[in-house]
Amino acid sequence: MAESLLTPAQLALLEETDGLRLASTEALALRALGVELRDALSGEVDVADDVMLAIALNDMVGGGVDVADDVMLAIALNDAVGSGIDVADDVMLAIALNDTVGGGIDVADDVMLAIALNDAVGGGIDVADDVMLAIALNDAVGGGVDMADEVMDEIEPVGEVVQLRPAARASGPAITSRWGAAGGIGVVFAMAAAVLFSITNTPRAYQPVEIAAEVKPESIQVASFNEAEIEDLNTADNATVTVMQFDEGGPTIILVSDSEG
Amino acid sequence: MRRFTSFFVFLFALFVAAAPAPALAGNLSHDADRRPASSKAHITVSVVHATDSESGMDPAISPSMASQLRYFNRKGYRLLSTQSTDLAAGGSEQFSIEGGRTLTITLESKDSEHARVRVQLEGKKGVLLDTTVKINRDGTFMVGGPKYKDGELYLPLKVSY
Repeated sequence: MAESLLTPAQLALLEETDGLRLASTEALALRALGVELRDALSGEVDVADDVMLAIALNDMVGGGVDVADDVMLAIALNDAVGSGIDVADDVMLAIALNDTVGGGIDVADDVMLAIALNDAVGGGIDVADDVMLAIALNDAVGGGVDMADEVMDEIEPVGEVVQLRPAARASGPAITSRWGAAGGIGVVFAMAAAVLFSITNTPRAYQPVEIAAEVKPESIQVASFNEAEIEDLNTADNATVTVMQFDEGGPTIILVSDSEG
Repeated sequence: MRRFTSFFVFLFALFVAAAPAPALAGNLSHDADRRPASSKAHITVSVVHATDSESGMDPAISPSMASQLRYFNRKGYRLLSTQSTDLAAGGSEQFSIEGGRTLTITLESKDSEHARVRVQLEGKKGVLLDTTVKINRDGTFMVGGPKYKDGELYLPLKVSY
């Protein structure tokens, strides 16, 4: 069984978010319980064990989350990638975190994708924890920090991509399509990130245009209604005022000369 | 499919959150021609900096206004800001002007042809100008001359309704 415990730095980050509204300790406790349950049940990976664990954890989080779908997908994926990754733990944590943050984000889907990508790039990166932490923190700070981008950059397939084997059981739906779509996401994400980068980093230089080139006399809207009638005019003692109108139809202009700079 | 739909939604939400805000958001706008409800007049105040340290006319300045500004014999004219508000008769609005000045616009009254507008320009040392003008409907009026950096400010004021 592969453990994917959070690193000390990640734990510290999660703890820091407690004051914001994320009950991270509860999620972590739930995860620890999941590991304990698994160890108590058996050292062997077994579908029944996963389902039992799912049911038990579902009860723990109040039954509000239908874990069955996620667990079944996890099992199918786990089987498809050769059982090298214990996805159930990550899914459990995802469900617990999802529930903790109010269900606003369907984190399980993202974790599943992360796991699949992780396997595809050779398993060198434990992306599940990072994705979970990114999503939880992102949500905890109100979306102001775009942490997920960095995580996605990490898990984008690089180098040799390992093809997933077909699912061994009939209940492993859409694994190939998930991976196919995952590759598409990587491309779309990279393109979107590039566009975003170009927008935010484009220098905004001011380049004045010569008057002769910009002002077209024929386009000037000369209208007599721009003339204003001054009914009352008061100025400061140290200011002088001049009323002028450059041409018929042009706006009335009050020029104030003051000593303030 | 549901799973990927939600993932796309998640990515989209991140992009929306990370998207830069418009550079001239807030009190800056270019909606000078926007027409308010019939009971109100749309007041637009622009701030143009006339200077010799730059050359040319800011393309953001309308051609009709540029044709007037060029009479002042400065080399460059830059539009610093455009602020606007909707005022009903008797309503008043203060605009912050570069150089620590305040321009207070009060719509005294309006009818189908004219608007009576009180314009008060206040500097650091007190009121510089206090005038009431009758502007034709959709007409423009300009206050100019306050010093700013190495030039002056010109404040075209448009009343639309």
